Amino acid sequence: MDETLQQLTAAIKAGKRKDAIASTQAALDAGTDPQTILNALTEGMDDVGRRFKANEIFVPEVLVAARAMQKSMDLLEPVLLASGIQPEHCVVIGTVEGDLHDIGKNLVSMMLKGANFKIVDLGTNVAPDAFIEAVEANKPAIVALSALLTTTMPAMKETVALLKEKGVSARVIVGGAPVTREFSDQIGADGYSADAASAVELARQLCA
Amino acid sequence: MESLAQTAAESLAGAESRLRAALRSLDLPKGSLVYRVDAGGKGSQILFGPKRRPPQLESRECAFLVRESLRWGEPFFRWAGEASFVIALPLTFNEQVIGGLLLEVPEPAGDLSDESTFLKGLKRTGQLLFELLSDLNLVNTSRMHARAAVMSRERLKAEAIHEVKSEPVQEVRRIYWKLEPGLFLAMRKRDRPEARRLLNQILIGIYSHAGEDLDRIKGFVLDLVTMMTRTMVESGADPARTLGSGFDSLGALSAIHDEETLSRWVAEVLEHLIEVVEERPMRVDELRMQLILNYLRENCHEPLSRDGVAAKVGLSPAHFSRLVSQALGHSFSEELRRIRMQKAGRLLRQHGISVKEVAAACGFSDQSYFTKVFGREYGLTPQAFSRKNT
Repeated sequence: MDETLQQLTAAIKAGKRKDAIASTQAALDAGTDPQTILNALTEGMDDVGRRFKANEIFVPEVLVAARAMQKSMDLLEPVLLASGIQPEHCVVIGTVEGDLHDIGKNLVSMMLKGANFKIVDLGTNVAPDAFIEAVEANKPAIVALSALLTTTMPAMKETVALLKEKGVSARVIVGGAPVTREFSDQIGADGYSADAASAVELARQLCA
Repeated sequence: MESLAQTAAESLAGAESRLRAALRSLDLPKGSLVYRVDAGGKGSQILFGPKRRPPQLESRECAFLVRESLRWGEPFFRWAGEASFVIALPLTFNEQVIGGLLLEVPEPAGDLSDESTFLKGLKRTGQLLFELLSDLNLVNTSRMHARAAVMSRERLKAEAIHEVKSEPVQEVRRIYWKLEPGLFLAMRKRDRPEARRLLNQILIGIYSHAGEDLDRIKGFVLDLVTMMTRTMVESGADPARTLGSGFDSLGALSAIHDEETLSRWVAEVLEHLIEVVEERPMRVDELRMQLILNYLRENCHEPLSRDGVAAKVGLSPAHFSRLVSQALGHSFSEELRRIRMQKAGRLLRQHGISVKEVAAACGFSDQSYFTKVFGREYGLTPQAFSRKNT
């Protein structure tokens, strides 16, 4: 990998937004293949995800890395689109109805973006019907549901039930502080992940 | 052509005799003095009450009170000088403020709380004066109502903001308190990944509640660091080492204005705190005892049971009781009583806090029971203690 791309990966790992922007722009100006630039970004974010999963770093460090990656993606995306490179899989993501928390969901969606998934983020407090509409419009491979409050777990159950009832083919994955594997099995979700990095692994497995 | 000021003065003079008559017909509190001032708060003219007694307020204060009444769109109440209350209202002619009407009332002996007959009566009097000025066309009623509506919205907004701000703080603290025993045990066992995992759960709570607001995140993080440091110092850690010789930790936080620097700060400070605990591992019992005492101090306003607190720190009730009596030489309930009485004494030394509030803040729903327990501890009633110490 050339020096600029190494710098880009390092900037993402360290969460240095300005450096990430500069390296991305330099790589684009040098005519580097956009897919190669994307790979460098993904490598950086994968490393952050791995260290987060291994409890080596703190949440704010993941957030700044993800934001640095987002800034690079803002520059890279138009070039990727122009050269016909598109994310292979789409994920519709949102925090379930009654829950206004978005940190967990944002972490997952930023990590997934880093892993080159197309993300349709429905935000927080998303009604079950809104998930159905988004699924119909975007035909995602995965629907990811997040909850931070124990009180909104029934809403998660209701959303999964509706997605299944409507015969949605996308795989449904769930996560969030109060959610456990048992709960995920109990409500009939296709997958559960305890943290953002595992969510990426899970999504990759389900799409393989 | 007649100037507006002249017209206003004439209009006021014309209405003044009617105003005097109406004031006499109002059932004003005993000893009331009603007077009017000009727009600068000067030239007081007594309209009702003993002519010999001059108004207590200076013109600057009068002008201020009238402006406040205009701002709030309602009669404005406050203490005035020694032992009296004042109500202020603006006098307006068309859109122009031409002066103010003030009512001074001597303070009665006895209850002066918000719910007292005196203050309730005073509020009614303020309203009657406002209606009277309205009837005499001496106040711009629609402007006052519009201001009152604006201020009421502002007040609601301020209250809502206060609620939104204070509730998440409690929520984040609850997460911390729940995780603190495990966190300190992990640090003591030098299990850094576990310590970081637990800290990340608290940080997720912080970032969820603070959103994108950097100042709020800083506030929450500072709260977290303060709670951790306190537990550490109280458990025997060296304060200088804990609070940071290697970094001017707390001071540096206020100078941070971007999330990248904040992220580095959070990581450095938390790693440093973990390191300090690792350097001087506390004995498990010592640590648990510290956690128990911290928990009691933080939550002594709530009903606390031995079994409930034991469960919070992950011990069986029997083990918990043994630990407490070995460490302190007395029972859990005795320790809780001591902590509550210390807090009560501390609060009663402060101004402006009622015995009822102190009782509630110390976990007593029954004020007379509080008085009894307090008396046994300090040999005085809470009221007498407060008078003696404030």
